[in-house]
Amino acid sequence: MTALLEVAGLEVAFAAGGFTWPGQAARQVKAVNGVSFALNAGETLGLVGESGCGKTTLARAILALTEKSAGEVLFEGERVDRTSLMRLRRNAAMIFQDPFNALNPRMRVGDILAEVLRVHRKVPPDRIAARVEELLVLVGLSGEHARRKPATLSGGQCQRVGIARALAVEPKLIVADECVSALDVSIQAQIINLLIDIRSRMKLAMIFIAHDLAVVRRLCDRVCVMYLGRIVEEGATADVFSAPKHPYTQALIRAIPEIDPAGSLPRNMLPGEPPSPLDLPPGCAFHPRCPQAMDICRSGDAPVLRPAGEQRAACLLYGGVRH
Amino acid sequence: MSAPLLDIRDLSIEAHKDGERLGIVERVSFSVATGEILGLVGESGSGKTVTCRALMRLLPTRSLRISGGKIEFAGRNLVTASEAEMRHIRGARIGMIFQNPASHLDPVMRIGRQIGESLVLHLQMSPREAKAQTIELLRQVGIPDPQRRADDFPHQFSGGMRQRAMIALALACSPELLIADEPTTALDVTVQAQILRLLVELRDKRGLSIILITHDLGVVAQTCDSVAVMYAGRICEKGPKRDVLAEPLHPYTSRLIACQPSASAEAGLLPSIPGQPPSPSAWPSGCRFHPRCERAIGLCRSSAPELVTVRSNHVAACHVTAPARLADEAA
Amino acid sequence: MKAGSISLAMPVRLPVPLILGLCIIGGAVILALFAPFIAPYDPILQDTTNTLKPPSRAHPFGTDNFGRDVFSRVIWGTRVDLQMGLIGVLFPFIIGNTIGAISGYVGGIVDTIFMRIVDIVLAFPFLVLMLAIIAILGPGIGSFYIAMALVGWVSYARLIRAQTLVLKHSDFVTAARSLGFSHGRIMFRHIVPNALVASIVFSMSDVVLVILSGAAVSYLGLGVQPPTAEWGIMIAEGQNFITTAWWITTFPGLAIVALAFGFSMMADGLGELLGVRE
Repeated sequence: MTALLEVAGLEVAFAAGGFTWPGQAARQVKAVNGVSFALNAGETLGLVGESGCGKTTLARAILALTEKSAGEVLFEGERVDRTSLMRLRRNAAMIFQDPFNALNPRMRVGDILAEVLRVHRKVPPDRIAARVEELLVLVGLSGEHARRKPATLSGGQCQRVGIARALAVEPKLIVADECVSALDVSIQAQIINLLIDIRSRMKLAMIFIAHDLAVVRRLCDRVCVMYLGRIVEEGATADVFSAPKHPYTQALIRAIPEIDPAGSLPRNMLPGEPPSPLDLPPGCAFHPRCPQAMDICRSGDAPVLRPAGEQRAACLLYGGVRH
Repeated sequence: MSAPLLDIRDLSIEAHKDGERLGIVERVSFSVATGEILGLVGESGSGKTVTCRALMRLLPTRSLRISGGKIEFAGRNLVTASEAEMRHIRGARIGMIFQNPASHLDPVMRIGRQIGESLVLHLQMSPREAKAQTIELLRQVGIPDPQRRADDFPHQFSGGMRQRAMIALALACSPELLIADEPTTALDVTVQAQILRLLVELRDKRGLSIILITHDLGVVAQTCDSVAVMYAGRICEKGPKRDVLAEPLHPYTSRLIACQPSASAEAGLLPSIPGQPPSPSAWPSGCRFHPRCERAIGLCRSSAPELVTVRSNHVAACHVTAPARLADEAA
Repeated sequence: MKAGSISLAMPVRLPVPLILGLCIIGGAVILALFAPFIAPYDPILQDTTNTLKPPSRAHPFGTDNFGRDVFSRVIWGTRVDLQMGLIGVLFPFIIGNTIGAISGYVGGIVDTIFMRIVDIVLAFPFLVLMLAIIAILGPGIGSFYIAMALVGWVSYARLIRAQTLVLKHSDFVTAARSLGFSHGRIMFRHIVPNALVASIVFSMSDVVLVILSGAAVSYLGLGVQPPTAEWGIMIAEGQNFITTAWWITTFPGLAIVALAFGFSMMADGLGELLGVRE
């Protein structure tokens, strides 16, 4: 069986700006650097990492919303390019972080959903109003909300409308970019539950981007941990959380603030902050912060993903030592 | 314990909009002892930020007004203090840091000068002394190579470093109290832990008192000594961190703890709180949490519960759980 | 505050400046429409026996050097000036917004070309460029409109282009792209309705500018031609008598001020009502 989505060697580079002498190559930032993974139908993949690690850029490149500079994306085994783009558009939808900014402030909720139905000819014109109401009920709102403008809704309600709009396409894949991080804790839980519910009801595949690992633990079958544009660890969620292999993943999981009445700050915390993507360290990009860094980590190419326990990690601690 | 450093009693804040008066914060009381870290927890709109702005007397005066209560700080009532007195207290005795340090640092002034300026202004230091003190402060908040970094502009700092610089600025005049308004919300988890560690260390070394405003009970668990939970402009529960987190009394607190996902939990649905936080123009009657509460009884709709002490320092405002716990304790 | 924050829900109430502006402009429109019934005299009828009379019961605003009733001329002038303001704004509005929106949305070489043209137009002093165009086309109100369209569009183009550039990267436009909407739909359904707010607000204050330039052009004898009753011409003709017959210039001047005030109130009110964000 071919995977629903396959990403192979994807790279996204941005011009870094700044002054360049004539003849000198323009400086580039590789926001996404050689990322490969596959996603099966109905599967949920978590994409985690700190800000600036390239997870949002990766999501946008997958949906062809950002120009990629190398690599390819295959949707249902078919290369996504200019001619096959509409196929992807009809089968994939995105949910955004800022619930207010994701909706056109001048359109009513009903019109926002109806527009998608009309453009994609999902239902005959006389069924549109009924389908809009169906969608609103599906995400826990009511038909009454169709007449409202986004500004009169709360953040949680707007996010539900955003989800309804994504579902209107009847997609096979949903990409959710930090879709709960702008919401209050009690509303966050509602939205996560809604996603879990519709995912199983509609057999959706989902790419769930988050910096909050605890949320990923709840929602995802598999998880990819990104650091500075590369995937550093990839595996089943349960494996990655119970026995993280890459020192970065270990530090991330240690740093999750758990509600433990006797809790205190974690010991051996990760020092420093991620370096600027403009000025990546040689070797493993994580080595300046890594408590277990060895001499071989400090030079040469970045390590590649290799089997480490049940999952895969891009770390020289798990073999792949070069001579 | 001797008299607390900060003692807020029945503080109420009103908003005036188009001739209407809305109670934004109602009869909020809490105190912070010297060297204590208090977590002030609540969702957006619960009034936690407004409360702390009020105690700095930094409310936008045209729309918000303190309508009652007192704020006693080191024996002085800040509600009635003159503006000149407040200017001295702000910065010199109470420091404040924010969620987004970038917007609270002057982008065109070198970090070192911003800190030095406040030293010269409040402590009448000579520029030379101020410079030395600034570098020492930057070193204390963990900025590497402070001598050189003092000459950098804010945009040359990373997010975590900016928050450290903000803390150095807030600490410049050795305040007794630091108000930290969601100081780590905009930071990555690994950096968040570093900043929280810094705050705890400052408390340990300087005996600083801290009010940590946050929506994350996990952060409270890691850093605070005591916690006050706010919902819809009122405090619904407060007490020592261990008691509140281990045996939460108010249904809102229990649900809030339950619905925060945990990394150790299995996959599956999360417990959640139905509905959404109310707005000041439409506060529910009685206990403001009752429309979302699964344990609500008839009384909750009609009368607002008072805070009841159930164990030393652990108080909660609930018609259902507080009396039940009191009965348990008595038995 | 975070996105979940609660806004104080208030019923929609029209801002006071908007109501005030609407009243003034509404009054002007009524005067313009019913000028023949309201004005007591023919605005161009000369009465040489009755020249330079100060305001009286028969002539509330007095008479001018040809014995024409200033009150009637001010009322008839409303017709000309209002029309001049509205038409003078309409063409720049349409041209500027279309060019600016396309320029901002398409970007690249198209954007560069249009923006260089804007720079060139802006490099000339506004009034000088207008007078030059009118001089080439020959005096008259038609020339004035053409000159206005050729010069005035740049402000709208710059305004809406800036808005478009911001909106182009907003989440709801990205959402529209991710849903496979066509460029036309994204531009006209999603970007333009949001970007247009600033242009509409600006157009209200631009009306004032156009009326003043129209009056200035007429004053210089290049716009509306005498004996038509137009405020700018009236002021021009009355200036020789400013010390002896102040009423000839004062009342049309006040009329311009009142209409300008009305439109700027309208701009304020609309800005408040439409807001950058609702």
